[in-house]
Amino acid sequence: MTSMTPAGASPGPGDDIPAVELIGVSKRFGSNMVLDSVDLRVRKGEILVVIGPSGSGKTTLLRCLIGLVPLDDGRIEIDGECVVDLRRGHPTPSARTAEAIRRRKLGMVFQSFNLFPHRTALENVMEGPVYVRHAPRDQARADAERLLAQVGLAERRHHYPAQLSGGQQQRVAIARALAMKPEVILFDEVTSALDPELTGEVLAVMEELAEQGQTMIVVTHEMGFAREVGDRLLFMDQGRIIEQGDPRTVLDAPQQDRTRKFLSKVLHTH
Amino acid sequence: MNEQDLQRLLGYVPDLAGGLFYTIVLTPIAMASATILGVLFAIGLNAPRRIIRTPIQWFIEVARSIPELVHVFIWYEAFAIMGLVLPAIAAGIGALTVVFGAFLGEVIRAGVLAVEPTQWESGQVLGMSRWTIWRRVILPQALRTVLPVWSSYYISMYKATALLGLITVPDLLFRARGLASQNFRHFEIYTIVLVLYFIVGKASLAIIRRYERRLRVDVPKSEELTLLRHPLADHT
Repeated sequence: MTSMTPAGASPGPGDDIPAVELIGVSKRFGSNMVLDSVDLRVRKGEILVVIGPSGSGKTTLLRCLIGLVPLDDGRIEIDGECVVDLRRGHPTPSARTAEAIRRRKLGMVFQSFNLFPHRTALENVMEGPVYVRHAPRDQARADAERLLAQVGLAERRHHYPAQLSGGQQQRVAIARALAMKPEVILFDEVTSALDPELTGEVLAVMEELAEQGQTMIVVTHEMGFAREVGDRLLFMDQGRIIEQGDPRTVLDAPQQDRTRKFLSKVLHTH
Repeated sequence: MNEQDLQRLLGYVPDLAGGLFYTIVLTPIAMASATILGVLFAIGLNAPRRIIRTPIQWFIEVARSIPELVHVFIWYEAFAIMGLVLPAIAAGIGALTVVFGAFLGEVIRAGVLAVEPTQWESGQVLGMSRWTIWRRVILPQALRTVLPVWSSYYISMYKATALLGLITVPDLLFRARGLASQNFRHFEIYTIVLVLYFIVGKASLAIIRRYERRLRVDVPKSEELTLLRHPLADHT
């Protein structure tokens, strides 16, 4: 796979509705402000790459989006539908409604894969469609086999996670997220737990998804991926978006001091 | 021992083996219902609300502190006086279900705690309901983990069914005592009882161990996954 500008989604009706919109989203853990009034819009088909130092709030951003962590303030809209609005004087949808929307629209891949260890690769991928969407088993199986082939693991479909390498497990995890046909997939440092020689195979799968127009929010330390695949790069520090823009511009000519400092540290180690 | 003695001794075997049938059938039934109760207790003990957890904790504490035999008498005799007359077998199964359900509740809860907490998140991001996560993700892993402990409780249950002879369930021990009180051949009869209990117990254990191995072979050790984590990984 070569470095190409991602295709993105072709313009069409409804494309002005952002895939994800955050307004004034805040989250604190104790006295620590992890997200400080974050505003963010993600276009459909956009590949948004989020970078920043440890504790900058980038993982929390994803976790708030998908509902693993409750917000303290702000509003989140997914594909035009509000899932939470805690701003004063605004009605917020019920937890049930919010969950139904998130379930349909969002998928997530974790740093530590988190596959179901007692199920084979194929069963891992089928689990969501069969037990959440109640898809017919045969169809779910056919879909899962196609997705595993897409991530290059057709032959390994009957292996258990413990019998797969980290890179293979992570590719199964991506297939598992894809099986739910999410509008947006959130990637939380998905290569951070992998040996360097295994990160490539995972990034290649993600790059392919990007080319297919899949909307993605990618938290990563992989600056190469950010530069080549990202449509937009966002630098976070202390719960705030410090700088954002075209990845090449941000990486080569950062405007903010903090971005510059962070990049000088990170780029030296790579 | 002369041949006549041997003949007589073997003559007891069919009757005793008929009693053994009760033991063999009652054990898996009581163990199955105790396991279901144990799973419900474990789920209850994991509940976020104290109002659910506390009564279950108390119930388990009390149930575990009382001798099994007392449970059996409560179900058969005390309940009857209160108007709930149960057949001996039903009362026996009920009593053993409660005792072993209490023990297994604690055991399964420990198994639940051993499941990686991130498994909950995996289920959640796939849009699974809490109940689906329990059923498809947490319990299958927790039960596999506790299988070795569960099988030793299975053997305990097998032995505990002997108590039901005391409330007229015609099991192996009940029949042995009946025979012995007629012919005073205690030594020979209890020797047969011993051998029969041993053979069935040993065979059950062998079968369980075999399943245990088969179920465990595919479950990775959580340490392996932990080792793969990056030391500088950020868990913001």
